[in-house]
Amino acid sequence: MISKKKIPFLLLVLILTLITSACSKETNNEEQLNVEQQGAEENYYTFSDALGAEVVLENKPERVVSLVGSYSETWVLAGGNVVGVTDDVQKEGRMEITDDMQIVGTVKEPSLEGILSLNPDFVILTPDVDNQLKIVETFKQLNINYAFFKVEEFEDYLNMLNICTDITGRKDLYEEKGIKIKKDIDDILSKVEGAKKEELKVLFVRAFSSGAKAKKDDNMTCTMLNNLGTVNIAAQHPSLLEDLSIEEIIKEDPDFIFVTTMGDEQKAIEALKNGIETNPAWKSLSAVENDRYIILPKELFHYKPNAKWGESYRYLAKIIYPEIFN
Amino acid sequence: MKAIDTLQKLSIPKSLINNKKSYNFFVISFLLTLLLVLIFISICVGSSSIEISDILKAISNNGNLTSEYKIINYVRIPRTLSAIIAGSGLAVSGLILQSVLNNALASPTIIGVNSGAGLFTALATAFLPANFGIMPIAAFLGAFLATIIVYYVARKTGASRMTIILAGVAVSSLIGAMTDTVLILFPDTVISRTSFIIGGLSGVTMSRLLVPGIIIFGSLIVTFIFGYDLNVLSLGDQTSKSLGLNVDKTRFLFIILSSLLSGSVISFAGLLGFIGLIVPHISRLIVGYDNRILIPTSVLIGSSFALFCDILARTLFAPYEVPVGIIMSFLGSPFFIYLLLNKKRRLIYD
Amino acid sequence: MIKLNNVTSGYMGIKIIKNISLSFDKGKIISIIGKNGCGKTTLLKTASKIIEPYSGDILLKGKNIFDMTSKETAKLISYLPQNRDIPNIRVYDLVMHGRFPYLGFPRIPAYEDKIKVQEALYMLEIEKYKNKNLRGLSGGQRQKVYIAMVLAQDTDIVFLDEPTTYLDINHQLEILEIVKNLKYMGKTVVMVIHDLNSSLTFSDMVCLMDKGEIIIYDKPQTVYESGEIEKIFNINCHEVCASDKYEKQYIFSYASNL
Repeated sequence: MISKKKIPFLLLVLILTLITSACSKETNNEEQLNVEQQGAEENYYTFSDALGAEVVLENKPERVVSLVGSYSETWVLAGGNVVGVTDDVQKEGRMEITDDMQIVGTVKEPSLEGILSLNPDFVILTPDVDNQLKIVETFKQLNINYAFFKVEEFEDYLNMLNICTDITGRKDLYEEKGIKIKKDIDDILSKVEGAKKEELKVLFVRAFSSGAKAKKDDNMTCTMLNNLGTVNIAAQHPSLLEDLSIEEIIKEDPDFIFVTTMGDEQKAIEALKNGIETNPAWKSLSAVENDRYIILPKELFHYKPNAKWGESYRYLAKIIYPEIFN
Repeated sequence: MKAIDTLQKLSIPKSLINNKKSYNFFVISFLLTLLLVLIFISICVGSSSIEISDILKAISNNGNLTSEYKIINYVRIPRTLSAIIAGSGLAVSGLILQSVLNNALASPTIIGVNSGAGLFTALATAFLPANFGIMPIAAFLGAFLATIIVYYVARKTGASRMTIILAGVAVSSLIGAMTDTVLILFPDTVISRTSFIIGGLSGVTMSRLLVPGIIIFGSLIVTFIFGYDLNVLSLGDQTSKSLGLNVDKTRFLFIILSSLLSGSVISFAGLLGFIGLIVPHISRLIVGYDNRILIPTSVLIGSSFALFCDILARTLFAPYEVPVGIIMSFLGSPFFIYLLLNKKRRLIYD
Repeated sequence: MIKLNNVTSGYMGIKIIKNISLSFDKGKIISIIGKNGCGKTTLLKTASKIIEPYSGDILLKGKNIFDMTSKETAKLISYLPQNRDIPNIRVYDLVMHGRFPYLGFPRIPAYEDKIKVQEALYMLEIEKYKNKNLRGLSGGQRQKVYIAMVLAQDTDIVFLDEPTTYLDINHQLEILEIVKNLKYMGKTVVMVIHDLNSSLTFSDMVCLMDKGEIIIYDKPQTVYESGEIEKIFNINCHEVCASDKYEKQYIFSYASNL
């Protein structure tokens, strides 16, 4: 009869065995994977990712998993295929999920098991989600290539497209989905530069179901508005970044008020109606009076537009400078 | 004891129940079997289905680097192990505190580990954003240092059970305010903190488990060795002093052990709640008050509970993963409310 | 046997007892009496090493008790506090805790420890309760369990803080008989007691304290005859003898301030 004292020790021994066997297997694998790697002489492609790390692709990646919806789209635009995507691909309406693709979780909680079951050879991630930063440790151990990308502005998209088309070899797509868009945008901006008369004041608001905040530089729509030669009143009134206050807005009386919604669009608009719009002074704002209080479509102004970035600029330009663009 | 009534209904022989030694042996064997079954399930089950034969191949180091092999060895086995380590660490950490502070509602939160880890990880995210490797160290350091501060604040006023709890509340509030300040000054840090606060075992690697695992393992052994002293401590400060126990030193030692245990768990699993609070209660219901048997029991129950929650977390909505902390709260809270409602009855004959 | 030299002690910087010098001799029962707040418990706690004095030494068989380790002291001195928690514990296990100073590292009771525990249980006639939970016993029975624990601790000196307070009269007398038995075993018993009659009838020495100082420390007869009790407590004290069979008793009556 085993005395009760010995039972815990047996358990500990069991755990110890589990740990040591698993650890030893890991090191065995790493050696094995290293041996395989030494076979390849010339690497297919090397680049620096958003975190400054050097990414070395020995071969052209065939099984790519992307953990951000907009990045999945960029990869496909560059001519590649994705085998694993996150669910925001559906939510943001980026592409249809075909039979060759599998959902591997959400952007915030990607499923490691789901990813590994697809046998990927390249994984695209964002450094903004800490679960994604965590997950690469396992990729390192398994010698699965991965790269972090950070896309805030059009230039970032262009860079990413450049790298992706380098990998897929489809520089024609870089022309079509990248350079051409840039030309479009430059075109619009130069027209604005030449023809605009005064600097118009704008306010950009992001609304969600429990409130609304103004946005400033760290936002792609604000960048677009800046580039289009307008002045963001939130720059002079930083308190608007925390909470919209009607007095501040009245002081400046912006020419345009643009809104995008986060989360449920209906609820966010409701919140605005029941929030700042209930203030009687709201109707007196010239933007509201003159029908220049505009809710912007999500695909162009909240989700990264990627190849549609030109359309976004055009959309805004038509509204702000109707005389130039119509 | 309620458990005894249930067992009698299951027609387990009375002789087994009345003899404490054999009863304890029976309980431990049962729990060990339960844990082994859960380990088996945990390795076999996941968002992708893998045949048992492939699982056996994967475990026996067949060398073929298939995706099944990778999943078994790089996802399921590490997670299983992390659940066991986290569950046992938190359960015993809570058990120690409930004994030392003689308060059945004590949990590691009281000695400041959660707020300390929260502050240091916020600082790490704010000042060293891309350096993810530093997070576990920050969490552990923060947890441990917070406990030291709580203990020393309490010591100034006598380090009695009540002052330690009060000091813990006060210090945690202060640290919480400091953390909020960091979050306001560096708003980007908020986004990357939610998974830490909720607590989860995704993405854990064996290398990440090594150091915390060793610390937890060592602390569990030390706690078990001094388990009898913990019994003496619960007789009251004066009585235990009279019996020759160095009350201050013993209390300090156990608080440090508790902090090492929960700090290590926080470093790889975030702020997992409930295990530290609930599992000791369940253990007491089953095996009574002797810490020497309570410790192994809590290890087994804590591991099983954590493992069970992790299995659910991975499989309920596959391929979506629910963070383990949420499942634990959902399962743990109703049970805790039930315990509270029944507490009156149990006060006397616990 | 245990000697206090010029001991000043208290809590949080406040001096409660000042310059106390006295000794408790082997095999005697000493009662400490006095009004609330006079320092009885402080004296007891200081002498039993529960609190450390601000100045002065306490010598046990010539050695300073504060130079000894807590385990060493625990084998020589035991202390039973006035306010006792009622922990959730079996009677047998609580009495076994009395053997704690003697348990070596794996904390497993040896044969001798088990014998001592059995002896203690028998002596206090609580053997039949040994598997019961403490919380299921009456106040008097619980007190006996605690005394059994102290007995199992097998010390030369036993300090008891108000061992009879809150007990029913039959249990009070039972405890006092047990205290007498402790003395017959050769132990020194120092107890703080509120019941003045018991202190005068059961003890070998009575120590009357007031405002942190010793007013008189002598045999009960002497203390009674000195009239100090009447002075300190502001009462009248009379010796009575029920009959030849019984010992002298002491009764007290209210003294007006006229």
